Amino acid sequence: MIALRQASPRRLHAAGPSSHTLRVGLALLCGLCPAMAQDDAVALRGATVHPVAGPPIEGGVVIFAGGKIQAIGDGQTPLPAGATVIDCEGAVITPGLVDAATALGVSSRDANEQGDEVTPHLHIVDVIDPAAPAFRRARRAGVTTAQVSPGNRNAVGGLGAVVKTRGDTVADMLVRDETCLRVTLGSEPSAGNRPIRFGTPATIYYRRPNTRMGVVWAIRKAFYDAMAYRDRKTVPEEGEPAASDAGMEVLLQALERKLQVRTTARAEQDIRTALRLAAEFGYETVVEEATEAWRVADDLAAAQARVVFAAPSADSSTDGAKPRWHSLNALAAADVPFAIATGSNKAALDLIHEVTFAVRNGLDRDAALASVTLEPARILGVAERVGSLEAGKDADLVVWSGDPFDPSSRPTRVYIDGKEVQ
Amino acid sequence: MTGPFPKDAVNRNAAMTTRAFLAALLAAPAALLAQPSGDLLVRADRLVISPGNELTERAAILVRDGKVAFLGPEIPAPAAAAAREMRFEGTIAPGFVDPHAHLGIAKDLAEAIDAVTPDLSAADALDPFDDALGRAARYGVCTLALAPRSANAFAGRAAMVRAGVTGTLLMEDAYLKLALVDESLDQNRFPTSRMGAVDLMRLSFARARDAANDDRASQAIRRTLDGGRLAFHTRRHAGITSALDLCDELGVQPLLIGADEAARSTARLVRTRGSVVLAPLNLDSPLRHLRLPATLEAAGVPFSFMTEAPPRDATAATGRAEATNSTAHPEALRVSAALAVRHGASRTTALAAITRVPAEQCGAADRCGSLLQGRDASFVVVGGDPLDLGAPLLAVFVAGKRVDLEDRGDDR
Repeated sequence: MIALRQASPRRLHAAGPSSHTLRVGLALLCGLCPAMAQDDAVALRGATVHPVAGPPIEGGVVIFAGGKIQAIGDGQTPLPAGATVIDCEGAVITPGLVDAATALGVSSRDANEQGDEVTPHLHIVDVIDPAAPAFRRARRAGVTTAQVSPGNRNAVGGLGAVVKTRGDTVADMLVRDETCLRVTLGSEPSAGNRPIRFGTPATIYYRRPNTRMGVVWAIRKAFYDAMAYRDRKTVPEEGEPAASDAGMEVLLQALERKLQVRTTARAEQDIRTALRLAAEFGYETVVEEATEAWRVADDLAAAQARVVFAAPSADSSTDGAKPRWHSLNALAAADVPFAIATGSNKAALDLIHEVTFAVRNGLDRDAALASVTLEPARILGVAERVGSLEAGKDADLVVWSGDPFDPSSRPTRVYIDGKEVQ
Repeated sequence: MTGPFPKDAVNRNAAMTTRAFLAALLAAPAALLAQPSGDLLVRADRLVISPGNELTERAAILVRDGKVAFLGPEIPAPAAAAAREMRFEGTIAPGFVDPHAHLGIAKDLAEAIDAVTPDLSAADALDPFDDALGRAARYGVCTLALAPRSANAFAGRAAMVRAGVTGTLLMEDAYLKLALVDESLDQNRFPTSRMGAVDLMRLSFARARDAANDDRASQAIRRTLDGGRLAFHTRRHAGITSALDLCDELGVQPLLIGADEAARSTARLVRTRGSVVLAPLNLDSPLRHLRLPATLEAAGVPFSFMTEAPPRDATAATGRAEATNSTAHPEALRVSAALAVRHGASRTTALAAITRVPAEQCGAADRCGSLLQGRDASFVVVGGDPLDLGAPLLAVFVAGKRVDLEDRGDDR
């Protein structure tokens, strides 16, 4: 995203060779020299392996080195000499889980800018705390990759990022920055606002919008402003081109379909509004939360939208949206691609338990596993690195004590980039 | 403005003129009685030139024109003979340096008009006759950085000031202060979140880097990026992470003020040659704060102490940061250093934390913080080790002038 880099010339990923680049370089080097590759090679043997990208393998073998998966196969797969062999008989191995909507490592105070309703150019990576206990809890529960987004108190909140759940610095953790632009519908962006009346104190909380339709107006105005900005840039009035505006540049990226719009919408009316806005402005949207997806599954399919279904086990929902377990079955039946996530306000939820309940309520087991691995990886645009067990992908995997959808199972080992996490 | 302060002050302020005139009248007889050479020779049992560099024999310092002229064995005999001599039983040590002070003028240093005010200078709020300056000197704090409070993302520029009954401006650009604390986010305007504040900082830096932008804010930021110092006021680990990420992007050396949770970032601070200004320690401080100096020393991160205890982050009761007036006490520097030793820091490092290191952090190491030739003759004489709280303060000199330690009529 060239425009964004211009607006912020020395962002984390643009600051020269990051540790990730170095890691990848190292991995390539390891791939070229078999002797080196064997130094840190690990082979997990005897487990039932669910690669997600292919059928399960009974008594399978997973080999990884240099932070990357080297090979997946059955019991006959030759093990590299010198590899650390770990016996996993009776265990189940899945890819590391990918949580497509979280607020891991950020506080609500840090991630919700109240100074303006429309703040498209704010970056969540600026406020992620790598040492936050929430990351440790997530990786111990098998979540190795997570999307973190700005909060939901703004109509247009800012740019999300995909991170691994372990690292000393944000640069270490970062998989991809600027993965989506967060837009929120419904009552939350206007929740703190008060209509301006005579005699009210002059604080920023007495302002508009203060209704659901006002929130939509603010979003629509932001994109129309961006289109006007584009016109001023290309056809300058009186010879003066418009000054570069970081927020407008981000909105233009979305209008040009170079940046995904993540629209949080719970109630049926809000989901329909999300689709209507996407059609009106031509941007690509993923609907987040989607509590009442069971009512609009066909519309989602017709709009070719994808869904990040958040926290199905949450027993209450804002905006009076009615959660139904068959929402997921309805999405599956309508062929709408979906991921299951813990949701950006519910960081303490355990992702695998959300999927377990979905399976209990009729969701196909393979679709369920894909909904927390490969599907979210695709939605987040990081499927070339994570989401399935395939040679060349990051060695992010979970060894479960048994069937992951059995509530008595737990992760016994979790690896991120080939390193066992604590 | 780098010259001595009173001349300008007289031109500016009628009230000051009168006071300065009276002060000059009172000082006149002393000047007439001065020795011919005008030099001052101070002898003691021990002389700490800078922490870790000491003389225990021929411990003496020759002061000329407010500067350190000669030390110990290097003092020429004729100069020593012509000088007025004082002798103390105790230790001469560099005057203490406070790298972040608001004195009593907290209100005049919290400008909330805009989130980006890098061109504000704390020097403009300096009252040279502020009682707090005299009080600081009486406790051995000879030099201090007067800093804007944390009311904005870009709070403004700190100024180095010599303490004393009449304070003088030493230099104007100690550092540019940025704030990532609740106090700076509770100002009823953008930004209210750390995410917004970091973005505003990044955009402001990008704007300043473009030479076409010649507004005053951009000029002030550009001057700082061209060899100036940048200080981030931030306490929590998350804020420290944001500050260090920004410093990485800008390629500047991090200076963190009030970073109570710096223990988790020592490796990064070492790699980027960063340093920390710690809030003062007292007997009520949590153990993790009391042990932080030793942790930083073991890791190799330079640190100093300030007298100013920052307002607490959002309290449970009000949900807002407390912007209480300062209750800073100048003795807090010596007490903090002593408590740091009590909890595992070495004496040398603890003394450096209130002398050499804060001077370096403010870019004033060639003026104060140590007693090398040519620096300000600002020093304390202690009847024992400077970090022994039982040792009395025998004398304080600021730029060669002895401070009257008995003048405590307005002390708290």
